[in-house]
Amino acid sequence: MLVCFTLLWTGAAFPVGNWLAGIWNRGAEIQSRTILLPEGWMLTDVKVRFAPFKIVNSINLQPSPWGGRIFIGDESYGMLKGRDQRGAFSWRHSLSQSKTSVRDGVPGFACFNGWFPNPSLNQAGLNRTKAEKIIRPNGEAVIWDERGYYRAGDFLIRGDWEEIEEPPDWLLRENNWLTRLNRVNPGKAWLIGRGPLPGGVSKIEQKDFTGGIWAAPLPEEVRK
Amino acid sequence: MIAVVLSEMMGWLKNQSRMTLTALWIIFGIAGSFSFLRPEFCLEVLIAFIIWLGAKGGNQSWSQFWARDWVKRTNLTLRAVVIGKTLASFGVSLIHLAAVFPVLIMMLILWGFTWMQLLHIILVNMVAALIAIGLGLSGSFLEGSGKDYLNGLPTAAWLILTAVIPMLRPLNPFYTTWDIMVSNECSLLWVYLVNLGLALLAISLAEYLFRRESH
Repeated sequence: MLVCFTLLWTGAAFPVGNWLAGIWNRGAEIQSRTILLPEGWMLTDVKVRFAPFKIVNSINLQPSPWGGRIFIGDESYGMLKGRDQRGAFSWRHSLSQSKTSVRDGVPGFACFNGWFPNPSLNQAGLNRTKAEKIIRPNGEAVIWDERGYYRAGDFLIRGDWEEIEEPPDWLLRENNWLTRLNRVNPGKAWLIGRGPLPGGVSKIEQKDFTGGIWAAPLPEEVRK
Repeated sequence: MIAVVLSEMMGWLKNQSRMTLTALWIIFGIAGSFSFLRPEFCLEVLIAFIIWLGAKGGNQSWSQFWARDWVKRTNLTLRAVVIGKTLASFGVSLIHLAAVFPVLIMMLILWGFTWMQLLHIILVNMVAALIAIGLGLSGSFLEGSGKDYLNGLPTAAWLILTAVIPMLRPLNPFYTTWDIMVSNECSLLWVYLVNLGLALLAISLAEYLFRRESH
């Protein structure tokens, strides 16, 4: 009976372990910044920071929707998977080899970016209804232009441009990112939010990302 | 010798199997929950448990017959009794390792160490169990001479000396486990050989003490 129990339990360890790995980021702090692009694409920048007391040489993200294995030491590599679990973007970094898409990799830290298809978002341009649909999951979104911050919910539902005196806490730390956004689209307004986005990648964020923010350029016709 | 092995294992199965297996699950469960199944912590807990189990088995804690009874009642040699008891306790240790093996696989999937590291960890546990059994038996025969306080002395001396003296650290299973998890590239063949030598020495010491006790 003991042998049967051990064999069954050993066989179950693989699916149980894979399931656990898929839903649990094991203490890694994963931050993503996503820019919604036209025609259902999104540009995602991801930073992974592992728990500082980590001794094991690697963290295995293979069974998770991310895919790949991230090494804590000198080298990191892996593949980000899309909703269909096919590799959408591969990345590798080591002291001897570095690709431009991977920005940096130091012990305990990995940073990479890539393009993902997400047809449910911004497929045929952003309009007010679609913008409202994007922010609906949590409503934590603001509209930002160089002049100030406005509550996105109020504007999208009632067309009300109510300025916020102080930006939300989660956006206060993102000054550098906002500056870069402004360089991409000078003088234009952005819809900026945090949390899950509709579509496959948002599901990954719900499970694995401890902090994810996103931005979409707000077309002029939506503002009027 | 086979009779000794079977009797010892049946003794464990009847008297102590529920206690030791439950203790393993509780201790490993607490360690795993507390540390999020982090291998560097859980594997140290596992090796501590295996050493405790080996020493307990060596001390004849669940034996149906003491070693001297086997010699008195049968025509077995002293060596056959010592080897039989060692094999039985080693079998019990293997059963505990098998019981916890699925958790080790889950740990591997979650934290991404390699199968080779897992194999090394299991080998280190097996060799440590052999050493602990040998030293436990030695302690048991010391106890038989009327000095109860010497029961756990050999095992304690092994762990303390190998932790304190840097040159002896490869003989310390806690240190070796840590080493395997942190740097998985060093050759461990000589470590195994030296540890197996120590296990042989411990079992020989047990036989010597048993022989001395019998005279």
